[in-house]
This record gives sequence, structure tokens and C-alpha cells, in this order.
Amino acid sequence: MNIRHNKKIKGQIEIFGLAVIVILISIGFFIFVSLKAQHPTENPQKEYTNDKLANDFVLSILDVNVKDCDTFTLKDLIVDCGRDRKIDCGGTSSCFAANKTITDLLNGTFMVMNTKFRFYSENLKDNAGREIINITHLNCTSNMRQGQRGTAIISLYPWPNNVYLNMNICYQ
Amino acid sequence: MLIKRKNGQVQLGESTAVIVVVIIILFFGIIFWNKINSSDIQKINTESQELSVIEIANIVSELPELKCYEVNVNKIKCLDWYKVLAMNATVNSNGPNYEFYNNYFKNSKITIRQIYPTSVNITIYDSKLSNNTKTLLIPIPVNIKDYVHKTTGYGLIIVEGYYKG
Repeated sequence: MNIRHNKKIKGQIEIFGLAVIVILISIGFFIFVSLKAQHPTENPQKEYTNDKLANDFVLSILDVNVKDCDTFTLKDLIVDCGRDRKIDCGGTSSCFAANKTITDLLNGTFMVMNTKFRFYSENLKDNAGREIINITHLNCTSNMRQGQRGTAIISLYPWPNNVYLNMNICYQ
Repeated sequence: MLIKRKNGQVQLGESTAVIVVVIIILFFGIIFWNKINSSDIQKINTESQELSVIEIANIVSELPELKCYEVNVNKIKCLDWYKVLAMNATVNSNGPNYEFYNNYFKNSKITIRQIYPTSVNITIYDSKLSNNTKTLLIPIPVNIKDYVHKTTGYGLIIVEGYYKG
């Protein structure tokens, strides 16, 4: 009678353990599926816009003829600004005209769409040693999540160094 | 006899309880699965519609009817301003040309927006589906060449895709 009683208790414990395992597996499965369903995915339009727009913009603007000195392109002005600054553009320097033109182009493209961006130059410094082109819209900083960066490399040959124009678009 | 009967009743109760629990788990499982499945289908549908608009944007930027040509070298992302004007006149003349381009551009609106040096908007194609539709906007930066005045400007090809949301 005692042996039979012990066997019954053992059986009950085994069943209880099995039930606990089944419940734990079920909970784990539900948590896994729920997390997978909630995982945010970028939509193709956002990915395409953020990745291609930056690169296409930087490459397109270089060939643009500048309003007040339309025999020169924006690239010519940036090269001149990086070298000896001889070009006069309607009474202003090449650096000022380049900066103003880029601001106009950014205004017509990204500011009207309320896109967060940061456009900046490298190796194009003023007399105080600061970068001449550094335009930020809606607080897009390097700490924010960003799409692909668009970069144009402009050679100053025969002068040493290259000038880099960078366009970063921050995700909304 | 009475003990055996009681044992049988307990076993029957256990079986019933197990069946009820299994049915409840199955019921919740089906509801949960359905919910996830329907949201997935909606997401796939939206994604495929967005991809089709991106495809139209790529077609427009590579159209020979709009692109610049310079001594047999194709300039990337460059539109000839006079080709844009010609295409605007051709497609919007309500002739068979609209039907021809409808095969490529489908339910969309395509605008060429010159931003620099002057601001001009030209809509070269519009399927005009405005009721119960959402729009998806794809902007593509391009150079716009004026071969008469020998200047290069800057603008955007704006493709707006209409789709049912």
C-alpha cells in the first residue's frame, strides 16, 4: 500500500515537471513571435530616399553654373576657394559664392521637405581655421541615426590635398 | 464497485479538462496567428507598392526622351531642358502618346522641378487618380542642361506614386 502511494506521488511530480516545461516553452515561443512581429522595419521608400538622395545631391550640384559668375561651375569655385581665391563672383569671393549657392540648393531640396541633414566640407578652411561650409538643418548631428553618407571628392591639383563635400541625412 | 466507479469518473473529468485546455490553447493560437499573418500581408502589399514607385522613378531618370547626350557619352543624372519641354507638350496633348507612357508610368505623377538658377515646375505626366489614394513621393536630384544658353542648372525629378492604402 505504502509502495503504491509513493509511486502515485512520484508520478504526480513527473507530470507537474512536464507541465512546467510545456508552459515555459509556450511562454518563450509567444515572447519570440511577439518580439518578431513588433520589430520595426524601414520601408523601401525611406531607405531609397535616405540612401540615394544624399549621394545624388552631392554629385549633381558640382556641375551647376553659379548665378553671378555663370562661366564657372560650383566645382570651379570650390577648387578656387581651396587654392588661392582669385575668382571674383559679383563682388564676392569664390568661398562666399560657393557657400551661398550650396545654401540655395539645400534650401530648395531638403529644407522644403523638412529633411534633417548636415552638409559640411573637409579641408576647406577660412583664415580662423574653421570649415567654410557647415550647414545643419533640424539638429542633425553625428550622434543621430543616419542614412548613407554622400561624399564628393574634389582634387585641388596641382596643389596638394583634396576637398571633401559631405552630405549626411538623418532618419526622421 | 463504488471505488472503481469513482475512479472512472475522476479519469473522465481529467480527460474532459485536458480536451478543454487544448481547445482553449488552439483557439488563442489561431487568433494570434491570424493577427500576425494579416499584418504581414498588409506590410508586404505596401512594400511592393512602394517598390513599384521606386521602379518608375528609376525609369524616368534613365529615359532617353529626357536625358542629356554629349558626344555619345551619357551624362549620369542629367536632363536636357528642351527635351523636358518637348515631352511635356507631347504627353499632355491628349493623343495616343499619353497611352504609350501610361504603360511605363502607370498610376503616378511626374514633375520636373528646376530649383537653380530659376524655380520652374513642369508636370510631364499625371494619371490624376486623387480619390481614396495615398501618394508616395520619390525625389531624384538631377542636373538640368540648357544647351542653347550653355548653362547647367539643378533640379529634382519628383515621382508621386498613387496607391490604395
